[in-house]
Amino acid sequence: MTPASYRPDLQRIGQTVFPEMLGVMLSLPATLRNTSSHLPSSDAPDWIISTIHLAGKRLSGSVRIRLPLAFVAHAVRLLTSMSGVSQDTDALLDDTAGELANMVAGRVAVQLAADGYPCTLSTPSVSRGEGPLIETDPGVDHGRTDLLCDGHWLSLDLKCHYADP
Amino acid sequence: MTPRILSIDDSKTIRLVLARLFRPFVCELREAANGEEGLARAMREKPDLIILDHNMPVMDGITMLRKMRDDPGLKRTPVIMLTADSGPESLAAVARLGVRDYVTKPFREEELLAKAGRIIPLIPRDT
Repeated sequence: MTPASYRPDLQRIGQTVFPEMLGVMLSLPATLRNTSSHLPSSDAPDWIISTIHLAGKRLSGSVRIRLPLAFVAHAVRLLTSMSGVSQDTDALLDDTAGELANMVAGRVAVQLAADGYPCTLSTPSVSRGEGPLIETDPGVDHGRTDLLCDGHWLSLDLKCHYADP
Repeated sequence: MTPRILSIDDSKTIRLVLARLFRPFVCELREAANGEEGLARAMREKPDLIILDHNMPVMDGITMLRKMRDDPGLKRTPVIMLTADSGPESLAAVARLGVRDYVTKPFREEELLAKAGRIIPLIPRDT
């Protein structure tokens, strides 16, 4: 039985599952970067932000990944072998970004369950833009992972609010 | 007899991945975007293997599996669950419904092919 005061290490979970997903699905190595709220000015692309909500008896939370549009277009080409993928193929780009987030969230959920916090996943919601990642809220655990992968900056934010005191 | 595979996933990306994966083999791959559409297609076409997502809108994979097990024409159809939701509760639920195997996302393509190949013959197409 996991003690009620125990909290999963969201930073460690993110640093494990995000590169794992990229390696398994896309065969792309990724390098962990120091977390910074400011990306280099030369790397300020359009973003696709995918969010999955987590719900369980002992926690609620979210998994959010932020990927540059050009990276997602590359992922579509790798996954499907389609050569004609452009950044204009909106629906497929959104679907791929959502599916990548879904896979990360699935691995996060396994880790949380192993730590005594089982939860279910929502379907992905996907948006575009430069919006900020999850803000730090009082009473909410937060873990952020930044990766450099194939020349692109990728970010994962995990947020969990625990029902236990 | 050419084996028929039905891929049921709300993600078009995953359906395209499976289309690429099975293209080199002699088989007919059909698709559906949710459990309701997949169930109707399965009743009509009687596939030899269903590759089924878990978490889908309209009708999820577990509900579809329950309905399949109540249908005399489909209750023995082999199913591989392809799911991101690989928590112990989810896996126990699919095991109770008699799925033949499961593959967790993110997945290695060779793992899915190996598991499919244990259920249907995967014969390379002539090039």
